[in-house]
Amino acid sequence: MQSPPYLPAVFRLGTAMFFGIAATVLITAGPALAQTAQELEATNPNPNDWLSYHGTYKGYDYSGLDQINANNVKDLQVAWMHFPGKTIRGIESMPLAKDGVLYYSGSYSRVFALDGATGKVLWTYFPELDDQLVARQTHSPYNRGMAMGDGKLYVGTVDGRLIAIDMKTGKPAWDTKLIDSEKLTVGFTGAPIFARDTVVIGAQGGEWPYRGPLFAVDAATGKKKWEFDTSGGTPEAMKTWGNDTWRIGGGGGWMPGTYDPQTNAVWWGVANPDPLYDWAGSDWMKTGARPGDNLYTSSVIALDLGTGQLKFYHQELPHDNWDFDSAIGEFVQIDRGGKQLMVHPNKSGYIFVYDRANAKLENVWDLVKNSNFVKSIDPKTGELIGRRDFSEGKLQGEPLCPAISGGVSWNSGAYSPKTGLMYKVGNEWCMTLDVTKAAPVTEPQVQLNIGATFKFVPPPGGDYSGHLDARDPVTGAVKWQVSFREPPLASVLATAGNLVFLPDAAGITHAYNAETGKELWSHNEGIGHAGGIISYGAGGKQYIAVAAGWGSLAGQDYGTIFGEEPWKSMPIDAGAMIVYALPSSH
Amino acid sequence: MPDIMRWLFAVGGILALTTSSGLADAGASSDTAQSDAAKRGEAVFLSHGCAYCHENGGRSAGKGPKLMGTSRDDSFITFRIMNGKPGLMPSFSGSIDGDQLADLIAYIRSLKD
Repeated sequence: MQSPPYLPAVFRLGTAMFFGIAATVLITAGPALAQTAQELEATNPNPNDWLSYHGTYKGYDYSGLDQINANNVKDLQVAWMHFPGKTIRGIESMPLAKDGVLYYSGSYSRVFALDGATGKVLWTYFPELDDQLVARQTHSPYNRGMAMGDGKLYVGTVDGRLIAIDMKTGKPAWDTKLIDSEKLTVGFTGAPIFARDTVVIGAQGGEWPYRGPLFAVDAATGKKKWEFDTSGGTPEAMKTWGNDTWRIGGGGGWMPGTYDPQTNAVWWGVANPDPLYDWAGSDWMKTGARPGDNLYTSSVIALDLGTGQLKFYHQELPHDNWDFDSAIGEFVQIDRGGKQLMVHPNKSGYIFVYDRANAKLENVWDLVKNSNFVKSIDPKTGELIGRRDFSEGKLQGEPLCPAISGGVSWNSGAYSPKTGLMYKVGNEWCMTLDVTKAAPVTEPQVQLNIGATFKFVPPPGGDYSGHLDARDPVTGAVKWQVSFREPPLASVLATAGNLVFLPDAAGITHAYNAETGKELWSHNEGIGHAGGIISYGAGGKQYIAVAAGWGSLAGQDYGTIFGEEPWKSMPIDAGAMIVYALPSSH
Repeated sequence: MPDIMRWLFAVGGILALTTSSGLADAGASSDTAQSDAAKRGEAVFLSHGCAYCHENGGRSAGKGPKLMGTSRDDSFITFRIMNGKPGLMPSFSGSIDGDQLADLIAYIRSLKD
């Protein structure tokens, strides 16, 4: 397969202004199946492609293409659509693109390869799953994306397998069972990452009483290389769980991490411990359901790609008592002021800024207004100041903010190296809480271990809301903000065309001026969004691909919270990949 | 055990509970039995993650419907718990036995504000 044809002059010019070497970039993609680690690690990646979950290892969710820009986005129109079928819980995945082909996964890990210019189906791959097991899973059957490398796509399944698919033929290259999902209930819903010769994927976890492992698999053969248990995965970590509760501690890593070639480190965000809510009160170091800090839950960890050995870590929330995973949130690699930084949103809404060499904390800032699970987090030490811990019974005082769905959710933000701004959705919601002592169930099949009952309520003195913020990613300084009545649950895309795209929960995809936040274009797709959005090039044109479809777990509350249309009737079994481009006259 | 066998076992358990309640002529011992069943059912509810979707212990709607005061009959509730509903509720056929199911229904019937 050849590289995409030449692009219009304005397209090349704009790209060149940013990357400096556009002409070279546009003709050096190479044969489709020679896609290698070098491409993923390239300093100036081909802007026509979207090779990994966040586009590149840098985690920007940014496209260097500028054919579609702030001046002409008003003319953007639907180029083609694709309906994958069986879209239970919508389409939650982030598409990938290479050499003019769009790849994406749907529910049940069904995989599609489509001509990026026309939408023509090139091949499909539908794995056969254990349907009886899928029916028993709470967090299922959605799939949030794939990895690409070495001529293959890699997709996890909810019944505990990692499958490699030949990108040219759509035929499976290998199929490796990694988790006993029949016993543990959980499998894989998050995207893997590909790094050099290895595929890394994290298991679902958090509220399931087991050890939430990450796996590394040989990309060529499918053979498991290493496994790291995020609950008590080292002798040091085991000591942070009283009564050996690390055996059923939860953890897991249900969204993709990233890879830093400079340190050969796989960075991954680890989910919360279980039960979500502990009855220990302030004496949680010594008593309760899981006494201690509970390493490495709600932590950012860096593992050696080759061995899986822990290199360094930072626990964002010691003894997380609020279901505020570190598993969500992109890893944004920014170099500033001579420092190499890693910016990582925690589900609480606090944004952590690290030194990429060692995860030493550089800053912490808060994206959301309604937050009282702690009074603050020390930006130098990371200490949780004024934390709210719970005893058995009803929570007294103000409701807990943010609610269980988080100050931010797993939908990615974006970072534009042109504007230097991070674009990220924040959620404003709270909940009542009644903490209970419930025994974890591990037989005959592991069950969700919540440890409380709760009810969503509006923030004190206000109403539910969401907001798209444009902020300095290191300091948190606000440049602009757009408000939404309902928190958007889809990812954000930034482009070199000075644009920020956000598909919202009501079904409308918006385009904003990246500098000012002014809305420049919108289109109603008729169904809510809780998935990915990318931009890619094919046949000389720039495209915007939006995953449309409703039914994510966080979105399932909207019918109750907002109590009116479109939420009451919005289907959870419909979805489409909707692709936009400028009309030919452009 | 096949799902259908579990389901039949569960229905049998519920019928037995109902029948025994009737024979006891709704007396004090029956009330006590129902109360005990509801307490056991609450433990099942809490330990199987039901509270994740049925908020406020089933007293409020959330991801799932409000359970308190439901007009659904026992056979419907049994069917839903054992079979689930794709994309909305998992099947508990592999993790809840007939006795637990009967207790769970007793808990749902006992819910008050």
